[in-house]
Amino acid sequence: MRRRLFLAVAAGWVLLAQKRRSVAAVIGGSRSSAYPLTALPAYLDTIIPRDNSGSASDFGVDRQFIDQASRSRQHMRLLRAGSKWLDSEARKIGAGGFSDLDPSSREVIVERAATARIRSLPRVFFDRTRRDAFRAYYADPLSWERAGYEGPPQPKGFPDHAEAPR
Amino acid sequence: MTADAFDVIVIGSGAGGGTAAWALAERGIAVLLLEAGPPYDPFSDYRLDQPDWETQHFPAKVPTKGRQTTARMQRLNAKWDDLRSWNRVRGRYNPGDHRADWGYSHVVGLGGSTLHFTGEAHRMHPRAMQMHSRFGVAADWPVDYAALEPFYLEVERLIGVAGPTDDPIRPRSAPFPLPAHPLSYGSQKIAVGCQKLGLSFTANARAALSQPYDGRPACNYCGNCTRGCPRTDKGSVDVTFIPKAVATGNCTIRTEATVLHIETGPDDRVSGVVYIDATGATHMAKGDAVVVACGAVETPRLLLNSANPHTSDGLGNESGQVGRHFMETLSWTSSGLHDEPLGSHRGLPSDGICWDFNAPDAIPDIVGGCRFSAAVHEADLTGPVKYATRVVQGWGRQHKQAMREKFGRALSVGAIGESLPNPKSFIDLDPKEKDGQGQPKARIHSHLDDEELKRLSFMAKTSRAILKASGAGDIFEEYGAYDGFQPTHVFGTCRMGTNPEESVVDPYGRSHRWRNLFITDASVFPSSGGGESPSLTIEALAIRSARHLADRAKRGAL
Ligand SMILES: Cc1cc2nc3c(=O)[nH]c(=O)nc-3n(C[C@H](O)[C@H](O)[C@H](O)COP(=O)(O)OP(=O)(O)OC[C@H]3O[C@@H](n4cnc5c(N)ncnc54)[C@H](O)[C@@H]3O)c2cc1C
Ligand code: SF4
Repeated sequence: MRRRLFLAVAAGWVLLAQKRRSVAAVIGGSRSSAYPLTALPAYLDTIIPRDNSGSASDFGVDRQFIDQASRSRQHMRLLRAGSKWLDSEARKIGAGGFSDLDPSSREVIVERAATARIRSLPRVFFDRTRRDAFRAYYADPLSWERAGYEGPPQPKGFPDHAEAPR
Repeated sequence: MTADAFDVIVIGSGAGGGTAAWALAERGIAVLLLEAGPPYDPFSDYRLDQPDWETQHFPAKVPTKGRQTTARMQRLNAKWDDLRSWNRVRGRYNPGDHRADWGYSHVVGLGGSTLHFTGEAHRMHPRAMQMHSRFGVAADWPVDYAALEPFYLEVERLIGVAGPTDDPIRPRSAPFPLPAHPLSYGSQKIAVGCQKLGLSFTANARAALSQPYDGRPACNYCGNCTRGCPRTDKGSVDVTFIPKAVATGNCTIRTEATVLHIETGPDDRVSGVVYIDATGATHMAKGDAVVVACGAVETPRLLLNSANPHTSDGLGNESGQVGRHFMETLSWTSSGLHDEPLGSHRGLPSDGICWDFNAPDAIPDIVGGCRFSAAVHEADLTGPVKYATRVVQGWGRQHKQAMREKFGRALSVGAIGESLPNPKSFIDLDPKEKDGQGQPKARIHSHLDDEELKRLSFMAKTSRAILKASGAGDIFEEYGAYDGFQPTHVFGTCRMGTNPEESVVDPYGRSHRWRNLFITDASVFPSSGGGESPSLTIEALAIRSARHLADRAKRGAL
């Protein structure tokens, strides 16, 4: 990272380069190449649920995901492999698929992915989708007010910058 | 190939080249300014008014990744683990066991890296210019602070620098042209923290307008200078020296014009340059003098690539010093969460600074100084995306709730320290990698020895202490130069000095051998300073060199 410029780019390279290797390794042999992404909206809504502001799917994050992934074969493979994993975990507890579960059962499965072994499929899937979901959700001005952000930075700027926030 | 003829050809339009072009043109000299990159339009290129502003960084039109190569970086040592870059959400930024190459941070465009810079406008600490005679390290500057002072003042007035009224360290012959910016609410907390520790924390000298000036509006404290300033109040070269140079009627600018080599002629004189344009067509331009200002990595590369039978080791490299003494940005940033809401995304980046350790002997038992500044904006903690991905852990309802509680509470302290030259840090030509024109790329060799790491360790510890005293001791992220190479300030690779055996150019930036070849960028710095940002000094030196060149030209002494 730049002396002080945060290396959004730089850290990204290292992490992505590393992730690219691990993504390839974790999904390399999986037979999920055409697996449907039906679990994705429910999964993203577990990461970003609706409360007094909208959920991930309310903001179209799931559609953005699919759009983005359709431009990269590897990314799409990761989404499909992750969706397959979510559904298979749901089936272990008797559901037809992840999206059939109630919110608290979905949370249990997401927590399993979040704490899975580093470089395992569920963990790589979780880390990547968590980051991408937050990026997409909080880049939407509809999310800003609830987060307490009164941007974008221009054209108004922040002329009250020297005072305590209101 | 037909050749255009000019009085002077300037190569590169950043802090060094853009300034030199203006200073020459203003003296009635016909200048050709050749810039490898394209122009930027601040009003349409910098989209800080767009919803996706936060996921877009500086909109580089020419990708810089891969323009240079980097020799294998040093192995990391467990004894310096405290200096590893990490984040509470993401873990270690560099999980490997070698220092990572995150790339030399610069811009290829009209205005050079100043398009992307923060805009700190620092004068050198006078005692940091005598590192060799005082401490036996680096080299002494062949020009002292007093000789530079009038040029500093001139640059401050030309670009519009806002700064505090008193500066006990750097004597001024007149006040800053603009009053200092008020500290943001977040930076006021750091000021309190510094006070608790017995440290000073004052308004920083900033090339950002605190009042309308020279036809440009005042800053509105949007906090995103490094993404490019869409108001043009940041004093980058494209909105200051370049339009002023054009207004003289004496400066011809060619963008997307990359110089491949400099031609030599008889009598130890250079005769012109060969460059390619955006279509790939090759051109030649003749000049009575050539000024090189491609930045401290690309300038030595161009000189080395200009070797010919009359100068087989590279142009201006009679001393073997071209490319040596590479100095980089020894930097550290710690970020923590404050207990109260601060709205810390608001304000001018790096608005406040602590200079207490800037003198070369100010850090106990370590040679070379450093400084500490408010850094939350430069740490890019200015919008909800970065909070969601770097500050707030977890997911689900709890994450959303925490976003609401934590947004605007981040505070960062950044430190930059002296970078001393060492034999393992230098620029040479990559023996294998070539650019699209078949020219060898610059290869960067960078090494931080233990003395540097001791200084860095002091910087890290003090940054943490300041954060804690400021009420933001809950540190969630730290990063620095130890495990990741990503310099923004680079210097030293064509040192200026009086001894032709130990330096590349004389005290006016003129090659010791080539009588009409000048260098006016950060390559000429004999030492880096104790964390001062370099542009103001580059610009002051560039004006001084350009005036010297103009005087010589008038006397027929080139
Ligand atoms: C993110 C960031 C923040 C910074 N913040 C600050 C700050 O707050 N204050 C400060 O003082 N400094 C800051 N800096 C550093 C500052 O921008 C540089 O030190 C300064 O711009 C260097 O000036 P230069 O003339 O040496 O090189 P540059 O400004 O990099 O200019 C070199 C120019 O030469 C051109 N060029 C290269 N090779 C060729 C060729 N063969 N032919 C034609 N053209 C060529 C390049 O395209 C470029 O435009 C920052 C830098 C960055 C990246
Ligand atoms: S903070 Fe001021 S100088 Fe920086 S980009 Fe915003 S308006 Fe421009």
